Amino acid sequence: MADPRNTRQGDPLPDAPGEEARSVPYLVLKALASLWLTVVLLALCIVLVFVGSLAQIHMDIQTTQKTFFYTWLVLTPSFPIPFPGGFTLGTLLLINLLAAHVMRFSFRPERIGLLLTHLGLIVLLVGGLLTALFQVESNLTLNVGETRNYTESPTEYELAIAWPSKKKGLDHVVAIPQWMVENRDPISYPGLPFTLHIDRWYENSTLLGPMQANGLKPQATEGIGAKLVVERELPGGATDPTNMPSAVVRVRTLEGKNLGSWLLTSFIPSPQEVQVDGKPYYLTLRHRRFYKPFSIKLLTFIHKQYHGVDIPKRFESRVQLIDPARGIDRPQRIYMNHPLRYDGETFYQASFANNNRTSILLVVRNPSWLMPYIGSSIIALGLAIHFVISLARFARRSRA
Amino acid sequence: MTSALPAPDSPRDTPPRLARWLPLAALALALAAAVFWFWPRPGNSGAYDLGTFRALPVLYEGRIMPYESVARTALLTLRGRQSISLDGHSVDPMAWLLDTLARPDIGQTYPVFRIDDPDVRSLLDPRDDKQVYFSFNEILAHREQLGQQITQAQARPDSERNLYQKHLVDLDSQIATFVGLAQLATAYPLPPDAQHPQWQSVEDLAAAHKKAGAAPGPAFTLFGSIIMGWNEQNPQKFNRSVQGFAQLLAQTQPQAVEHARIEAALVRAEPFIFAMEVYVAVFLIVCISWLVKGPWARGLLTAAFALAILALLVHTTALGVRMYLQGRPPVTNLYASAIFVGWGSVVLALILEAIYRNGVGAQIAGVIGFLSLIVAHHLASGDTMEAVRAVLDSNFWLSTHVVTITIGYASTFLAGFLGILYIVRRLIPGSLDEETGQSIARMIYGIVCFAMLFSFVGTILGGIWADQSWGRFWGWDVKENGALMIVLWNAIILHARWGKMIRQRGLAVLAVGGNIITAWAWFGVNMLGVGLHSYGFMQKALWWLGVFVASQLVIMGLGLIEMAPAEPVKEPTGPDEPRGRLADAGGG
Repeated sequence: MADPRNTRQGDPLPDAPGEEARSVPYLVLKALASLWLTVVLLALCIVLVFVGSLAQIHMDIQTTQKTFFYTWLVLTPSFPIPFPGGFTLGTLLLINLLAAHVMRFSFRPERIGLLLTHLGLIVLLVGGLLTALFQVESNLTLNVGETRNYTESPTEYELAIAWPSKKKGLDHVVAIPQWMVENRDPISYPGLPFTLHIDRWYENSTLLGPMQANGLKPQATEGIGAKLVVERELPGGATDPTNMPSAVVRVRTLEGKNLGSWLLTSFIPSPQEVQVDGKPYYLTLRHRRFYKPFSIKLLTFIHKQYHGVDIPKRFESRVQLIDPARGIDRPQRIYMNHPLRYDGETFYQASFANNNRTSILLVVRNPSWLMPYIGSSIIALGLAIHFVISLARFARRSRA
Repeated sequence: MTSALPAPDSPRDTPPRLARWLPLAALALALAAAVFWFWPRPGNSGAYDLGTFRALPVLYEGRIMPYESVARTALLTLRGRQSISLDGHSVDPMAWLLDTLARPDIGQTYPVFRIDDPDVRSLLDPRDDKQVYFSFNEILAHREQLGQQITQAQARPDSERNLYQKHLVDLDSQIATFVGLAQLATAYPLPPDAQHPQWQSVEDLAAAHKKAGAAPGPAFTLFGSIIMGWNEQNPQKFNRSVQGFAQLLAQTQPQAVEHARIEAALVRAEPFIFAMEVYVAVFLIVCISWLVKGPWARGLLTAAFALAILALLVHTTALGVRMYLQGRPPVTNLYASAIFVGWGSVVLALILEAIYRNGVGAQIAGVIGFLSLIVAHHLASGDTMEAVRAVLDSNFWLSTHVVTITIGYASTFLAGFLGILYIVRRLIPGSLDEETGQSIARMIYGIVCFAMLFSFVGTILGGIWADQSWGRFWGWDVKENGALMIVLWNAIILHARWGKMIRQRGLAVLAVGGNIITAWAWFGVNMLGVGLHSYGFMQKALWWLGVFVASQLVIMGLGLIEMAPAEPVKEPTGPDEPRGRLADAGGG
């Protein structure tokens, strides 16, 4: 980075131009801009990335990302000392890079490759930060023939309360986000004749049937949960990294009458009925839903294998994309390496289930999805230019 | 190929005649060895026309391959090697396959099952502690006890099985492979015809005809009589049917016949083994050149360079034939990546040799060529040209991302091995003069720049592919992290050098560190139990990875030893410095 001609041995920074430059801010800036800092930060990055890879033996990828990379400080029992997280190292590298360029900026044609490389790196780092902050991933699970206008979060849940509306075929629905349930505040909603009290919340759980319960008493008193016992599980357990939350919810009328408690659990996706004042209300703990202004229907799902062996050859969903507001009603193929991009979201063929009757699409909304493309193009260009310049210089000297 | 630097102590007097002829003699010898090696080997065994049979196409493991490959793939899967012997006599894999298909009484006595786990072995009452290979008859004799143990092991979830249970499950799949092949259930020898668009297994076709009440077609009859001919040990019948079957296939499936013929020739020629041996010779010749002086040394270096080019030609041809057969870019699996890493490193190293002509490039080419091919040889645990999985089924990304990142691996290894050479030669008194030291350091620097470019671009292309396939550019998964670690490591080397934190020796030491990082990125993922299913194999690989890492650490440690006289006193210079003093060193 530094021009070797005007640096001292072991010190990449130019000598301070005058007395005033030896002030404290100058020294701080000089330290922040030093190549030693770069090397140390890069080395810390390698350690972080390595440990973050090893952790994936026992951790699912989302937890790994949160624990090591999308965090300021790594605090986990599997790592003996607190360690700077991805955000910290990324930010420090960014500061180091900016400081270095402020301190030593000098434009010379042969340095344009390095300049571009570092500019692209800034775009990449900022893009990574934006992605970490704003990217939302959800799933779209469709059976053949089914139409949906919402996607579901793979990790977050919500408590849904539904009751029939006057319009036929439509329900009123109130969805309580997971964090409100976790807080265990009483839940009320204008127009509802009852309040919900969260007796228990299990971030991850298993269910025990009457035969397995071994004398343990069911926590809920009503509904199907009155026969089941919930047990707490460690979140992100080793055998199955996805959490299966459960909640025990007590229903109280506005007058304060206790109607009993229900077990709402991710294991039971169908709603449970609660009668209040002679009217039915339906409660479920379901994956958090993101409703869309358009809907998608799964026409067919294709799963091809190589002849005579069970190596998959092709996964493909044929869907109908329906967006009445924009007058769109068109068939669309989604297969490996060919996602559907629509309305700021990207739909990828992720998985399948149910003997090829169900297709699972991964849906990603990432407003900054172009930034890595821009950043890495600039870097690749910069590295290539620098490499060619170095090569030319090398060749010139070899001929000399 | 012009020489930039003069050869070591270049005297102007005429070199001894023998030394002048040395390179030519070595090349002639190597060419003779090549002719001997690649001369078509007799394909027949006794009176049987195995030569024709082994090259016929059949659909197995999801692709068209010759029977030669079926036999070798199956043997490799079952017993970890492509060869087999019975009662101390080595047997043609083709004869083994035919015995397995047609003569169960003999076929079931071959020791085809390799069992590494001593506890699993003890279930089979081995003759002694050394018995590792077992026959199907021995398995059958203990089927009750074995079956019970396997069922117990399978009942446990995959992640909760201990080693013994994992090995039992492995053995079960070995047995399934053998039985599937022996009963002709997993091989599809009968070509497509008007009624059947796909290749047919004998079972399928027999069942279909029985159902339809129709007589089976000529392919079925001919194949049946091949099997019967072998079963009855009747060479006339066998040969007649093989030739008839070959004619039929040539008429209906000309392309499959052609591919199978080429593949059978490739597989039998074992070109990578030949290349491996020549690479060793190259390395040794350069070592010998250190012991002699003057024209002899120059002659040896030229000979080494010529042989390295010969080995590279063989390596390249074999790689090209594999690409032609697969219709794919060079890297489709771990085995192919090792072949390609070796190829890329050797090409780069020989470019260095062409520039410097001081033996360094040739020697490294010999070492990396040999090591990568031996690694590839041991990575082959089944079909090495297996069908490409759906997620990888994109020639565009395979040829851009995978090839670029693999060149990144290759060049990082090359820099690392140059580092090793620097450190080792520094420790041998008199073998590293200042000029060679500087030129190795310059090579390392140039290669690290190259590695930085390719590993970065490769990583980014991987990100783009991931964005296209899974919807996220970067997901911190183990493979992505490995590639990122290579980029970061190369960045550390370059910044440390620019900041003058390291000189020649530091550069060499850090470059050797790159070997560790690259080995991890390349194999570490598979070690974490993601992807590969063969536990026994991966345990062994993990051990070797450990050995490799330890050896690299030792070399880095040796590099840190101060050796005052060998360390150049001059301020180190490199290609990045505009007014390098090295320019004076040139002038040929």
